[in-house]
Amino acid sequence: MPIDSLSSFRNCSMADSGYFPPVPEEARIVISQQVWFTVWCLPMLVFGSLAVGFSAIAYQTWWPSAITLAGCVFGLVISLTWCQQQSTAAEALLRQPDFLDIQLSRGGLYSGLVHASAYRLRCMTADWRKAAEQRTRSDAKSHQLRNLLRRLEQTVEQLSQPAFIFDADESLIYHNASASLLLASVMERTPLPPNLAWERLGGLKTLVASTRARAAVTNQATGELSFDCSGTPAVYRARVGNLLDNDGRVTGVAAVLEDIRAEKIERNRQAEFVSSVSHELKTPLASIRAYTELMMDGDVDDPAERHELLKFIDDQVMRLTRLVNNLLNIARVESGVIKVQREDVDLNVVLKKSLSVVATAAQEKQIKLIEELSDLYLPAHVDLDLFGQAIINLLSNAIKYTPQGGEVRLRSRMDDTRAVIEVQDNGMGIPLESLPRLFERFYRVPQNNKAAAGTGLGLALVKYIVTNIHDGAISVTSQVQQGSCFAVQIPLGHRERRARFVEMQAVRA
Amino acid sequence: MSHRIIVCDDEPHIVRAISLKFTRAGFDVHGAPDAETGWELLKRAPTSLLITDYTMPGMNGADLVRCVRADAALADLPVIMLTARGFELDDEESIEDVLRLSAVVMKPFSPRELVMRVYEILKLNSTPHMSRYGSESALATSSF
Repeated sequence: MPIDSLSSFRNCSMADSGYFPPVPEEARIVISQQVWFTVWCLPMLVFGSLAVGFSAIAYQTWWPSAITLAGCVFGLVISLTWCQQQSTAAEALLRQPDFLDIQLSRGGLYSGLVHASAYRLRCMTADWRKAAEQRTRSDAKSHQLRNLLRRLEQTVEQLSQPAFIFDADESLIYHNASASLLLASVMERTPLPPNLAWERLGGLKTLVASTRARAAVTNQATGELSFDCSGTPAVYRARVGNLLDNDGRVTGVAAVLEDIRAEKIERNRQAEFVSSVSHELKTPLASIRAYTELMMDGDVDDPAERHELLKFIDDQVMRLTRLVNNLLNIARVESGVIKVQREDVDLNVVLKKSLSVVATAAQEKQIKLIEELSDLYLPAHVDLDLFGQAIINLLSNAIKYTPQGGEVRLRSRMDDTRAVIEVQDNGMGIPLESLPRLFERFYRVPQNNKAAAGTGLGLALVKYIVTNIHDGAISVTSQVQQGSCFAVQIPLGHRERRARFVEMQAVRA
Repeated sequence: MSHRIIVCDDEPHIVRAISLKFTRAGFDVHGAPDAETGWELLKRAPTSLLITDYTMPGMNGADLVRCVRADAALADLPVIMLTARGFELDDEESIEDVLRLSAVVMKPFSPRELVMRVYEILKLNSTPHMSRYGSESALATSSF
């Protein structure tokens, strides 16, 4: 570096901070080269001295040559020592910026050269330091980014929803653990690499392509995917979004899938419920309206027929009242409007009360009510009204679907930690195919539909009261033309004992 | 010769009410408690119109109409569909188109308006009986 340009480096101060990086090997080499370069002038001196010595020999005398040689050796030693000092000083300058000024103030044969070398090294070091600081900063930044990326990746990895990321060419570049599981179940029989298997996810390929293509309009899209998953039909909702760079260009597409099978089943169940309510309410209304209009229009002339139609209208009004009451009961119980008030009771007492409620209906059909209650005290913690209602519903059903002169038995017994109550009849029974749907709202056994009036809500209410309110269970066994047996199980014990039992179970778990 | 009408509904009182009204209006009405019986009645003699409920145990109203449309002799039979359910509402237009229904009537309905609807579909002039109610609107698709 030329000396005249050194002034531009005056501003390079290394004293700004106390931090000095270690002298790099490169700098040491520079120092040596600079210093040894200055030393080449000394052999020139030696050469001059030898020339003088030679001329002395030429005059036939030995002492001028001896003195000259001694002088050269001495000069060489002095110059080597001086070089070593200069090298050390130059190196020290790198460590102590103020040292340079001290050296300059002293002056010296090679101070200019030292000055130049030191400045060059000083500025090189300053550059190096700046670069080092920048690198430290960018290292810290990239470390932070790496951390953030790792956290994001772990978050996406832990998502229960399958997630996919595609590049701008719509090739799969990332998928999380849930997505791996999904892909594995989709290609169970024909293993494929993930970048091909994802195309089997219903219309995901089309959705990704269309989202990318419609980037000018919107960057998000939602769609429903249906495909075969481990042999069963699966329904997923896919949310797809374009990934954009700073200039708004699409660099990829991300897709998150959500399993909506349960949601869809629930939606269908609710739609079916609304439709059933509609059907159950409108059917009696249709007959009422039709008959009323016929009579108003004078289409029914026969008084006996008119009376018959009026009787039917009255029956339909009763049917509607029963239906509305049952619907309200279910709605009240499920929504919690009816406050559940449990108390410690003897189950046999509740069962006897329920029997007395249905006794008249049984008598009308000459059905024998047989009480086979346990001799033991059956302690339970139940809501008297609700649990009583459940037993009454079971007994009423048994009476309704048992022909005249039949039998209905009410049993109770203790079974380990549970009380079992059974309502058995020898009525028309329930076909096997109807058993799984028996506790569904509005479900009525088609074969028994005409045997008695009903809303298809009674057993749904019983199931809710037993399982949801009393932590119990209900099951049914039946044989067509032989009869049915409904068994209700509820936890045995009064409040304190039940609390202890629950506690013990928790400890065991 | 009076028009032959088949009424198909699992609710016997609906069949009875419709039969009463249509018989008094001069039609030859035959009731069926299910779609299978309705189909038998349709095959038995030439029929002018079918009134069927949608929800019936076993074969439902839509299945019955599909059979009707698939049969060369009955393909153009006018059909009125009765329904008491709520969930088909969204699909009704498509069902109406696919099954080529003449009308979808929601329960509860007015037998009087149903008769007028049938007159309209069969392009019949009013009858002495119907003239009593001729001023009333009978053009509404549903009567609820």
